[in-house]
Amino acid sequence: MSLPATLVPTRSDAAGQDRAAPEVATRPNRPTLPPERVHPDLLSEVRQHGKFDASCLNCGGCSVVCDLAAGDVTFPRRSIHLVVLGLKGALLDGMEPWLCHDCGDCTVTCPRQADPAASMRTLRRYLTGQYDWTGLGSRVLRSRAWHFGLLGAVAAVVFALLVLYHIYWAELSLGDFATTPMGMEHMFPKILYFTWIVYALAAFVLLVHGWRMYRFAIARSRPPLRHFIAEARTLFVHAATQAQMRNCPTEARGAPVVGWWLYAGSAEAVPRRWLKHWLMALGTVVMLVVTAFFLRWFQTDAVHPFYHPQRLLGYVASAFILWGTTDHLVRRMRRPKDSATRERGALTLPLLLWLTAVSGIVLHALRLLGLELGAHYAYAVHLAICVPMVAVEVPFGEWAHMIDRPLALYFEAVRERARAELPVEAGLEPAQT
Amino acid sequence: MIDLNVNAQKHEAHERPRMIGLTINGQQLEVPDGATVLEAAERLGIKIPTLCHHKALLPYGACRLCLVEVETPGRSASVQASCQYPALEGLIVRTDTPRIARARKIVAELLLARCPDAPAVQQAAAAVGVTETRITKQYDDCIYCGLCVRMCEERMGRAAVGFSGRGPRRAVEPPYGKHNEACWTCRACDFVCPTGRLVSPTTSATPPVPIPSDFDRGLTNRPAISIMYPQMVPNRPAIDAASCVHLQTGACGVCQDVCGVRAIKFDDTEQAVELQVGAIVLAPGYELFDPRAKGNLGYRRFQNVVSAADFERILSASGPFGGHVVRPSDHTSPKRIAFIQCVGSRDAEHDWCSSICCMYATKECLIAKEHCGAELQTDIFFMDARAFGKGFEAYYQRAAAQGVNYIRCRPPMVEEVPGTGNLVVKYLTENDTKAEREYDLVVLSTGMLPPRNVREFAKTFDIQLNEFDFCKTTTFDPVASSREGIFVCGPFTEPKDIPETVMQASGASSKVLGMLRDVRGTLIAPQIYPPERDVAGQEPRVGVFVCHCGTNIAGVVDVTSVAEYARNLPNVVYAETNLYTCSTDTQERIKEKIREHQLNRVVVASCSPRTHEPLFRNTCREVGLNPYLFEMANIRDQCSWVHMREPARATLKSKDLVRMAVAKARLLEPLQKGAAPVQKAALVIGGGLAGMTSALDLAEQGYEVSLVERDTALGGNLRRVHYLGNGEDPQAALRALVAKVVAHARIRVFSGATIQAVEGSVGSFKTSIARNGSVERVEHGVVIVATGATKYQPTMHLYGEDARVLTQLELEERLATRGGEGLPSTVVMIQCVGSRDEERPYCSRVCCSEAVKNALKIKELSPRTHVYVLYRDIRTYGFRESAYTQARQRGVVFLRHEDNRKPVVARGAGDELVVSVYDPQCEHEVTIDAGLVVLSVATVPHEETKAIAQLLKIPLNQDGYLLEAHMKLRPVDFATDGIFVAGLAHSPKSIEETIIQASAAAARAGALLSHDAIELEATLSSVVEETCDGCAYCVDPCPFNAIRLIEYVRAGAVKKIIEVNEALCKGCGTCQATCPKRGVFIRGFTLDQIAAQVTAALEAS
Repeated sequence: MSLPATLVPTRSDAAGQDRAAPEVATRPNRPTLPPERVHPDLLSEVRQHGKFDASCLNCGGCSVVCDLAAGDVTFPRRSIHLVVLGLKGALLDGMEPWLCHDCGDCTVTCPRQADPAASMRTLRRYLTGQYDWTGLGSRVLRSRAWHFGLLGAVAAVVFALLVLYHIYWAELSLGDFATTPMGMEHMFPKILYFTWIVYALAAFVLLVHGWRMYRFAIARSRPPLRHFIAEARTLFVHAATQAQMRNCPTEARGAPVVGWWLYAGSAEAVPRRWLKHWLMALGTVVMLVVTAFFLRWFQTDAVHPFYHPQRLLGYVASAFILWGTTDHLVRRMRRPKDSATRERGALTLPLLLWLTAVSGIVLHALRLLGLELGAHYAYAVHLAICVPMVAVEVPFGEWAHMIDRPLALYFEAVRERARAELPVEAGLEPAQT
Repeated sequence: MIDLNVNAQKHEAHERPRMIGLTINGQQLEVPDGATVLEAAERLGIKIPTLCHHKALLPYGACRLCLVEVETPGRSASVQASCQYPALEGLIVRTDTPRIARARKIVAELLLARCPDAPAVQQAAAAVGVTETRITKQYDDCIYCGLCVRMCEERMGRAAVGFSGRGPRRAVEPPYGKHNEACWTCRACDFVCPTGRLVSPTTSATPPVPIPSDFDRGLTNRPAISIMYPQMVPNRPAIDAASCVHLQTGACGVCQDVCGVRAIKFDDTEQAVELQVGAIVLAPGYELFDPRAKGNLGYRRFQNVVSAADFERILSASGPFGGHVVRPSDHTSPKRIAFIQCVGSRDAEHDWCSSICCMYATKECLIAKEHCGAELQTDIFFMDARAFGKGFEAYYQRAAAQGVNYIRCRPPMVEEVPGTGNLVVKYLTENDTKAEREYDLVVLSTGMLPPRNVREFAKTFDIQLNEFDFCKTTTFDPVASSREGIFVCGPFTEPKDIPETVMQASGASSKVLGMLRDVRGTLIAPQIYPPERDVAGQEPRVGVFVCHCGTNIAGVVDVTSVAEYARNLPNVVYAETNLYTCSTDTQERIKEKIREHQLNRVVVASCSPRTHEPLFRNTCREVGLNPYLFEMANIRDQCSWVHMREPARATLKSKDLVRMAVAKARLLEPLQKGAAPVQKAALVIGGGLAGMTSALDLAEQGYEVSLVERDTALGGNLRRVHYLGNGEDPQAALRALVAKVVAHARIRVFSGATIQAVEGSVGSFKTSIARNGSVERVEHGVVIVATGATKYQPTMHLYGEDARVLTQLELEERLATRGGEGLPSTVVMIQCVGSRDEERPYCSRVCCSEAVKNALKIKELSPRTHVYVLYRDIRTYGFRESAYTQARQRGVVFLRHEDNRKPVVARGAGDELVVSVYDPQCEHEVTIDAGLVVLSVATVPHEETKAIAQLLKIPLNQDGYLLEAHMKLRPVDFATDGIFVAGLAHSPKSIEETIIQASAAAARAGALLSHDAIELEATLSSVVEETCDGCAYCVDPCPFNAIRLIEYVRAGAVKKIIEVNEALCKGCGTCQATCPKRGVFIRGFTLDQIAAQVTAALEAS
């Protein structure tokens, strides 16, 4: 896979090469930003989304140590400067927060101990809210009440629908309803339509989300369509893999892919995050695809033999999800209490995913054990967890990063391509040293 | 017969030893029984070459260079090694016969053949006139002198090395040729070896442990006994007990035998001394940050990463590389040097600015460029250029113009390029692009920390520390600690530069002078001298004393022949040599000889008059001889030191210098020091904070003070300061100060008054003060100028056109009176309005801190108001940095702009104020809607200052501020005595800095006033009435304004003549050099005396 030049971290290791050449090429190949009127309230708006320390001295150390910041796409200093100064347009224009994978090198380096990594996390949350057109996203990301309220409301709707289904369609009395196990297949096809509606709503909001991101990032420079086509591969690569995350220095410091658990005790050695994340994402995507398109095949009353693809697929995907989320939760819980990484959002999504997986496994186990009534309840609980998760976290919450990150890299690559086409002299002033 | 004055005698017995009489080269002398012929000759100053002889070791007679001819009466002469041959009664010794010369030459040739490359052997051979040998060269590294073997056995008691084998197999080696445990690796063997052979590696398996020199910051090593650094006070060597072989084991003790004046005290111990004092001044200094704590910067990991203090040593001529700028790894001259600023300053653990690093880095760059040439690349990685001091901005601009490259980034790490020792610094350009550069040397500008163990120190004195662990002081009492009677100064209270330190030290002493005024001078015991002998009309009788200075002079110069030569000069009636002319017993001896020979002129040929002339003059005075009848010849610095490889010519030059000194001495005349009376009163011009503080300090010290203020009220600029960042109330402090000044019995306040004229000079000024139409004359001994400064009136940024554009002082006034009421949602502050521009190139120093203070006040009164500060460099030095941090934390936005792209203030469409500025980081134009624009305007000198400067004839600098005598070391004085400066008239400064300088001026003035009369130098300018015709050529060249032209009537005619104000004259001689008619001369340096010296110099000796 090939990344745009600015995104590939480069280490000049040509020993003996004279790197003290006069500083001429320091003017970045960045398009000049238009004049902008400051939004003095930007900092306080951003701060509603989490920690953002403004005591930055502009020393630049954070950007220097960041291995993902390369060439003229550098962060975190630039992003912090834009927020502090109140340059909202330039902030939305930039994709930098999405290129950051939170290794924390900047926070270790910062002489002011201003925790730039936390500021970048806060910024991602702020941007997610900005990309959402409904306004719900911004509320969910800012307010605990809205977040949990919305999750609870969706869960309540799921329960209400279940009750309604049992009373009106299945025509069960209230007494029977609580004691009659009905198997996995009796809700078809209504459950299928319900799933499609939930997925479609989430997908629609997410698409608008992506569109708005496109507008902020691209609208001004308007690169020609051919660049979008030429970089389509980049979009695919970043949507399907963890290519950017693999470049994060945390990965290099991590334990080997195989046998990482031997290192689990030490604080420094974490397993390769990209692999864990990728497998977790893979399991989730498999489950989403299966439930969206093969629900009837998946959700059966028949108990297939162990080697049946339906069971195997379910086991493997669940294992990936469970491993990823458990590791994620344990690590984040272990961090000190005052650490910003124990923010609400940082725990909610993995917790919901973990609960979804666990409730699914419980459901499956009860069925295998022949405890049909237990399975009946477990199914209700499973739905009350996974439906709010999909309905709230995907379009309005942190899960939106599944399109934000690959899109950001894609747009950055497209812009990079457009910039490379600019005549070199155009708009260049004498280099400053 | 030459008299001998020997202070130290090695073989002195406990009781009076039997004396032996012998004759050497025809001179008779007595030595104690047991002395060798060599020692006896040494006492006569007769030089006998030696190589294997060592004062601390028993005679051995291995090298045979010290051969002499000895003859016992009745027996024939034989050739013997003088180092071993005992002095016998009646012995006749000859050291200068042709036979001896021949014998020594043969020995020298043999030695030279064995070790032709050893410098010590070459030198010893050269001393007997041998530079080449006829014998086959063996290029060995051992001459079998046995120094190492004897040193190890006799002094160390180890015998870890010895002789083995015989004849051609003879060798110096450890027993069985093996490393042995007897050796403790003291390296005394290597140290004494004349051929430079390293013996210790053959005896010891353990590598020697070097003792790193603290002063050279570990770049060099030092011995176990050393003078720590050349400027040490007292300048005496000290033994490092932990490393001294003698103190550790009882062996060695070589230094005690070698020291000619027996100054080594092994049993010296620390003593507790109890002192009864009335006040204490604490000046424990500071500690430099240890950059090892920032591991990523590579200090002590990479050889070529040094701290700025290390680099200072590298730059120093007395430093580890002799002033050659080389890098530690390979001692090559660097071509590219990077400085990284703020190492241990301005971070979360050290929330202060060390104030000095920007300037010392700039200085080190410029000096390095001087050493290495202009092609040396110097980059300084910095965040804000803190060139806030007087003259600093100009220096910074000059450095930038000379190619010092300032890069605005604080690189977090330094990496080494494997194999080359070069270093790569990665950084971010100001416009957010990653870059890296390779350097030969990286210098870390380390910050100032509180002194080590400061908490213990504070506990000892029971004083409080501030939040940063520096000493706690208050704005209005900046030299006082929290405990009464304990005063503090220097970086102990806050990181600061030299001038501020010097001022604070003087300021602290002013407070002490005030406290202890009643007991001032009570511990001084005046010295009583005998009445002076009248030598008028006497024929000069010159005595010459030539100093050996141990071997310092005598090791090169043949002092005996110099004394011999001196005795034959005209009017010299007595000459002798002394082992140490400056020693106490020699002083007694000189007095004795003056009396004995009725000497009326004394010449000492020794070292520098700069250090020793006062001592010898005092000796003369103690025996009733006028001290100005003394003359000195510097045969150490100018002969034995600079010509140490040419002994014969050095001796000749010494004779020349002595001849010149004698020639001048014959013409010397007794001189008397004059005295100028001191009017014990002071005039303080300016009734602001500085003037009032000075006046109050002087009044407290016990002097009458006239305080003149142009305005009708006291207080000056302080009247416009309403609050401080630390919560202190400046108006309350001002009211208290004014009340004290007005009520003080010794202060007379002239308000609404102006100075009309100033006459006189130091000690007795007469000043006319005009007030309410009447003129009053006051007499005073000193003047303190505290005329203050004012604020620049801006003509830009819509100031004066729009009521919403204010200055910081106007904003402060508004905030103090109206509070947060009516504050708009956005306030924009613009820094450097009228400062650091073409018209006023200096930095006004206080505006950044003022802006931060007001921004914080706005945030306190109206938290929702947004404050933007547009700046070029934020110069919140010292602890002001923490206010800057606080401001950022509270959301004050600081936006930098480039020097040449200043912000523009305009009215928008809706009549709102719009400030636009170019943001160099994002490279675009930013506009801010402002409800209020606040300008941080420059501080400009008061117009009055110029007039006062003209009245007092004191200089102004280019910026219109008063120019002190020395920027660093005399920050409140002028070249003209008796006039001092304090406050803003000197340069922009903060409240506490003003108070400190005002106290400092009071201390300097008080020191002068404490005398009843000023003792004047005797060697001053003197007018010859007969020849001076009043041409006035000398008036303008006089650098001290000490000469003026006067007219007087004689025999009915008006005559012109110059008059010298002896109180101002420094005796520099400019007038004498200018005068075409011999109408003025400098006493003690008359044309005749100098001519005599020059004539003597031109005579062949």
